[in-house]
Amino acid sequence: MSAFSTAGMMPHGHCYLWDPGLVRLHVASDVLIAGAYLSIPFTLAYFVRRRRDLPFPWIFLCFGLFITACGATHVMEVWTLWHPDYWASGLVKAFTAAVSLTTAVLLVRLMPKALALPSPQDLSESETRFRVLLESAPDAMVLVDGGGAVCDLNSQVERLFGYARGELLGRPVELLMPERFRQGHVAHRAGYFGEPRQRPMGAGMELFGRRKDGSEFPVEISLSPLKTGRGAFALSAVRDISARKETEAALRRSMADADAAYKELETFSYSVAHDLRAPLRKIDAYSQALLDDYGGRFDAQGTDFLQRLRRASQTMAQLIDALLNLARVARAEPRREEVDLGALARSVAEGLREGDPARKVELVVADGVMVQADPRLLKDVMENLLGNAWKFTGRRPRARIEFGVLRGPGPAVYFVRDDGAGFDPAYARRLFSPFERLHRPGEFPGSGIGLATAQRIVQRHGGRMWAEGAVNRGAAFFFTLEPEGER
Amino acid sequence: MSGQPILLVEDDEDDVLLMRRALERCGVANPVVVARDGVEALDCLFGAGPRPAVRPAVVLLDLRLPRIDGFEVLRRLRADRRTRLQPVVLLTSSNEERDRADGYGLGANSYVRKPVDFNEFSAVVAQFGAYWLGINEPPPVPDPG
Ligand code: HEM
Repeated sequence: MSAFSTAGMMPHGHCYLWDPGLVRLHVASDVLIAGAYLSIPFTLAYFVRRRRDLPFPWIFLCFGLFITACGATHVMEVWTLWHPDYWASGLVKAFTAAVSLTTAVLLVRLMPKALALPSPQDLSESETRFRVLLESAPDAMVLVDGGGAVCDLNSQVERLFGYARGELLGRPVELLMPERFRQGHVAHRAGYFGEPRQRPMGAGMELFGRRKDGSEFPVEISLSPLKTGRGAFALSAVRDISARKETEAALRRSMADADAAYKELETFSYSVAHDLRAPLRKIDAYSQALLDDYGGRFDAQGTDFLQRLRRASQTMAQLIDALLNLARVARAEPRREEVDLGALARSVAEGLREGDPARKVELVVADGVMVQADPRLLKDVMENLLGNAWKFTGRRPRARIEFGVLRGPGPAVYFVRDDGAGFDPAYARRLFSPFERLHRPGEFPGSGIGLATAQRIVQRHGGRMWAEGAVNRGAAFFFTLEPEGER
Repeated sequence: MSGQPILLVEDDEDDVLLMRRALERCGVANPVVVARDGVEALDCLFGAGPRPAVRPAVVLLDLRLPRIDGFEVLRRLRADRRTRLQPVVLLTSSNEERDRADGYGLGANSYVRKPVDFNEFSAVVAQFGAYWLGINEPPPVPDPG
């Protein structure tokens, strides 16, 4: 304590020789300075409290402390006029010096950051940029604050919802949705501010907007959080999806129509099969009964007529069966399994050879052609293609039929090629219409439904079928079993 | 065996006549009882009023019938203890019908798809006749010229 003793020292007033005017001048000035200095921190504190968004609030604390210390030195000035506590007043000064120095250094260090702060002019420029962006967005944009009030919007909102800008600013965003959602939505959006992130709103839900006139329309909304100096906001982009919904509904309707049409076709082909075959069966049976029971009374021509009658009814039965098969195939859902196409081709060709062993046909079949397809349906395809090749090489003393595969960048292309009668390439497309026949009826047997059926099967697998050929130069049928884009 | 009747459930006059002819051709001598619809068939098999139930060697059952169709007749036969094991041959007009019957899992003993060719039909009848009625010698089927 003795080190800080001021015993024997004189109060500062002695320096002024206690001149009443001079003492009063110093006292008044110091008191006013101290009063002013000590009031400044309160104002600063008030400012900081009100402007929560202030950058670097700690520098205000430094200033507050610094100015309080300065004020304290002036209080000490007054005190020492009468009391020679020069150590105490010196220590207060030293403290003030420390605080001032610290503040000065921190202020220098802060300068680059402070300079980087946007000026009010910058701010208004960025505001403008934000508005331009908002306006240029294709969607109706609504900016909503943490309390759910609309803070900004673009003209798309006015157009979509039928409100004027002024009617929405400051109003709850719930104004824009049907009443039944409003109450729940207040909680929804409050929840959003608890976990704000860019995401679609109500993903998987049917959302609706409500116009000023009360009409509703389906919408899609995406939310983005927006944190600014003035607090947290959410920006919602509202898109009217009425047109898309209508298209979807129309698509669903036409699919239902197609479904109904298919069902009808199914019933129809079933009746055709059933009801058209029954009379044919009877025609054949009674013709046979005539032959069995009255055969002796017919001459050769009468017997021949009856035989022709029976053949005609059987041909018609085959046609009906082929048509029925086409209808079945057209709606079949292929079940995919691994199928050895080469083996399938070989077994079908063997069947053809057995049916006509006298023919000289060289068969070339590629091995190891494995595909993922419906085995039953593919058997139909191979029977049709190889059957055709067999049929249209019928006039050749020696014929060659080939099954193979072409592998390129796209899906594998399978083919059946022959060196038979061929066809006019101008008719290549018509080959695949049911009942289409490019040869005279007597020339080659068959109904012409087979190729239509084969093409339909391939299409049901996602592939396509086409033909190449020339008159008397043979024909080649190509097909794929998967869509072009895949693989 | 030849005394036990065959129950033919068929509504079409011509088909009844042609089936009789086919059976005759194959040398089946069993009497043929004809039911014109599903109700008659069930009355016949389960008995109705004073008439006792008929226990046929085999039921030849058409699928498309008035009142109660063939699917339903077969379902009821299989559901009843007395007729659960009754041999039933379905007469189908199309493969679809057969597919449907299979789909129902109704438990037919056999299917005959009525072919358009009467000679083929006779051959099929001879086959099931041989199996269900024990005819050993199907008569020669005339060569379909
Ligand atoms: C920017 C402010 C908005 C915020 C933060 C917000 C937030 C939400 C949240 C969190 C949900 C619950 C579903 C989910 O979590 O995805 C929701 C539902 C919904 N919002 Fe918003 N939304 C805003 C603006 C809008 C606007 C402008 C509309 C109308 C045009 C709207 C209409 C709806 C509707 C109809 C639902 C479904 C309510 C229900 O099914 O109960 N929202 N919103």
